[in-house]
Amino acid sequence: MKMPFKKKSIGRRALLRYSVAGGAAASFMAALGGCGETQVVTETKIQEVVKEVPVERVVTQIVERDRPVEVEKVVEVERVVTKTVKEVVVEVQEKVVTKVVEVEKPKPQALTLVFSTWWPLEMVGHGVYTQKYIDVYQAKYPHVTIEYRNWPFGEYHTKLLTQAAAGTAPDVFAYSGIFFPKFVKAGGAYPIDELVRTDAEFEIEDFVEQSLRLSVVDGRLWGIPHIGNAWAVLYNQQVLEEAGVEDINEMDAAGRWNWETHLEALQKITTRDDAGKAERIGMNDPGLNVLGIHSWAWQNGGNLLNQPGLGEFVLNEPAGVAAVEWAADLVRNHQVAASPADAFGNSYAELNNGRFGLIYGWAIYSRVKGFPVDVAHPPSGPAGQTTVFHPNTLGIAAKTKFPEDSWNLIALQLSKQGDLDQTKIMGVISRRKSNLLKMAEVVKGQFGIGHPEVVAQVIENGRTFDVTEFQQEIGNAITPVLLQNAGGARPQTQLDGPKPGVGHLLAPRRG
Amino acid sequence: MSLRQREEIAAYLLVAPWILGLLLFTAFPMAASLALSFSEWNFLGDIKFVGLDNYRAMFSRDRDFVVSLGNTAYYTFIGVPLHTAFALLLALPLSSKLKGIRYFRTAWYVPSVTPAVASAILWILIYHPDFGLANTLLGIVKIPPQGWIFDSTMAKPAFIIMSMWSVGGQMIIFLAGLQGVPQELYDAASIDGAGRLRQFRHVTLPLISPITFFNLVIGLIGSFQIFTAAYIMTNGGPANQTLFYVLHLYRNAFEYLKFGYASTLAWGLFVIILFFTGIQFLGAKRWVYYEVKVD
Repeated sequence: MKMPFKKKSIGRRALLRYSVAGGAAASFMAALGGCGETQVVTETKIQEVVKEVPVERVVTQIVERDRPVEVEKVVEVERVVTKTVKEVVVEVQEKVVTKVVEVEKPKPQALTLVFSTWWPLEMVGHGVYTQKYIDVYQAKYPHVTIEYRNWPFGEYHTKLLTQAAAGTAPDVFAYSGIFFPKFVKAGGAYPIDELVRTDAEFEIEDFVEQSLRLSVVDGRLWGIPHIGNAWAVLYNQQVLEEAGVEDINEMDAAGRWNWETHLEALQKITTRDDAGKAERIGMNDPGLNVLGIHSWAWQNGGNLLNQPGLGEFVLNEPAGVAAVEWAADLVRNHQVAASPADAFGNSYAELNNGRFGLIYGWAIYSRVKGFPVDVAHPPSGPAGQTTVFHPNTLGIAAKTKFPEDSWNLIALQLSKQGDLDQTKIMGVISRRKSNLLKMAEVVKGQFGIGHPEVVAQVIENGRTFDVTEFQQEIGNAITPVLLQNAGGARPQTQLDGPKPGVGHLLAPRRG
Repeated sequence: MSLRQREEIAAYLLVAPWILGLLLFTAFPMAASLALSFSEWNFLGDIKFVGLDNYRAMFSRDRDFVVSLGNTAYYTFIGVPLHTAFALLLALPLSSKLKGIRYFRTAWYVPSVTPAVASAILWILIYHPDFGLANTLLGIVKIPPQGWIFDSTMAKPAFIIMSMWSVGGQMIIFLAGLQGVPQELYDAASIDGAGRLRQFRHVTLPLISPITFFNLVIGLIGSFQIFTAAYIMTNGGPANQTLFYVLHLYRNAFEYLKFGYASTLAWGLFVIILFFTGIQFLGAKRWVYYEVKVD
């Protein structure tokens, strides 16, 4: 029986050539499919070709991650094969490279990310910064369109909560730091530890540890600190000079800026008319609220909650009570700080127009031209010199469909450059260690502060207060007591009042 | 299909939107909130049944429940009678046929249709201790300035005074009632020798008593639900003096994320309002006169 074709013997070199070509092609096809390679390669029974496993791995990575750099790795494979058969490799290599380029450039699917904060894009500072980074993001990721939404702060968190319940929360959102743990506990946020870990360019270790505290809940990271600031003393140099008060920074440098000299300064500044009505008041409201009271309590060695359990209210212990007494007495007994009614106006405006000698406000303060306002560190209390540092948070919605794209928006805004730009454009303090020293230089000229190094010192000494999911309950429970202390109508100096209520609130929940 | 059947179907179709609305937007939320009042729910997570725990907590562990209920009761039981009396006193001259009276009626009515937020902001300014209108007026009559909403002893009275500003709604209802009193009754009383005051007491008041009753019931229900002004002007302060019931409920729901407990508070308020409305209805038998006796 005649064969339909002539049987031809195949030489060893030819066999090797075909095998290499076939093996490489099989590997390539397997790689494209992302399935196991060994079966195909084993069939060729050529040891050298089996070593081409890296081709498949590399190409698989290209399919998944679309990184142009991987092409170089294909060339690396070429070198391996070259060792085996030079003539054949050229042809195979060309095929592989061509295919890789064709397959590995899929167009990303167009998508819309919703991003929300509580300021409009038209707002000076915050709005300018946000618009800038939306533009930068959209240029870098042209397949993504950012839909920006904003609501006033007063209704912002309620709005986000209801949207989260309806599954329509913005993909990326700003959130007040002190309310964030509760939102996380309720299940509104997406854990970002893994996104942070796999992003080689985002160095989480660069963030000031204090600033991260409000974003960590139950040992996981849920947000990145955003637009933080720290309480500092802002003082009107002209008023102090007229009142015969030594410059606060000079006192601080000499180690004489403490509770006693603070009170003396306020007494000198405060002036009253014949009817006893204050014409000029030493300072604004001394922080008779859950945020402000922390500074005084820390300076006196007290705290709001026990450490580290945070399950017990301890402001009613001696150090805490003394701190509250001290702050309340500035209003009630010494009458050198504004009562809640006196503080009705804008503290910053009252500082500029000289009604207040000093105020407690954010460390970076945009000085109005022509007004001699400077910044100083809060005074030393019996337990030392410290102040409150409060960052807000950027988080991702629990039900987002685009966690990676959402993360990219956060990572861009809070990159080293983004962080520095926040200081420069918004006038907030940096949260990155690498930017702390640069910050003073950035704000110089932009914000008219005479002592930029003081700002850095304030941040260095700043502490983030502990936040539990019961933050608002605690605030609502103690604020009336603090105000009542200062109001003078019915002085109540003991903080035992709110203890049962707060104790109940901090008790473990059912289930 | 008979004509009667067709008419019945048409009738049901015509009332269907209303019935659907009632079921979807009133009956279902009420039933849901009742179920939630026996649960623990943070709005985003799972709902846990806790039996009567929330009701026990309301009476035994929630100090602010007592405080807020006390504040609300003060505001209601002092404010509503004053509010109603002021509305009636205002309606009396405005029911006369003086020239330009419509402008006065409009002027008094406008505040009641002003948005609550705008009113609240305006009253913050009026009550400002330093440059507010309230202290300026007191200064004219040599009364020392007050702390108003910033003073824990003055805050609740300040809210009651403020509520007088929005008396226009009740005033309009009184006005309608007064204009419905037959002139011949006044004429007869006058012939019998009754003066203006007696006519008011023995003719006007009895004849508008259903209107007065209506205003009192609606006033009490609305007053127990005061929220916006307190939320904007004082947020419960100073020293919890304006922590009204609904503000406390709101905090529990939207700040503390205790939607189950907030539902319990809502049903508590429902029962309280129902109780006092029931008392009003019982008392009404003694002083409310209807033109036609209804069995």
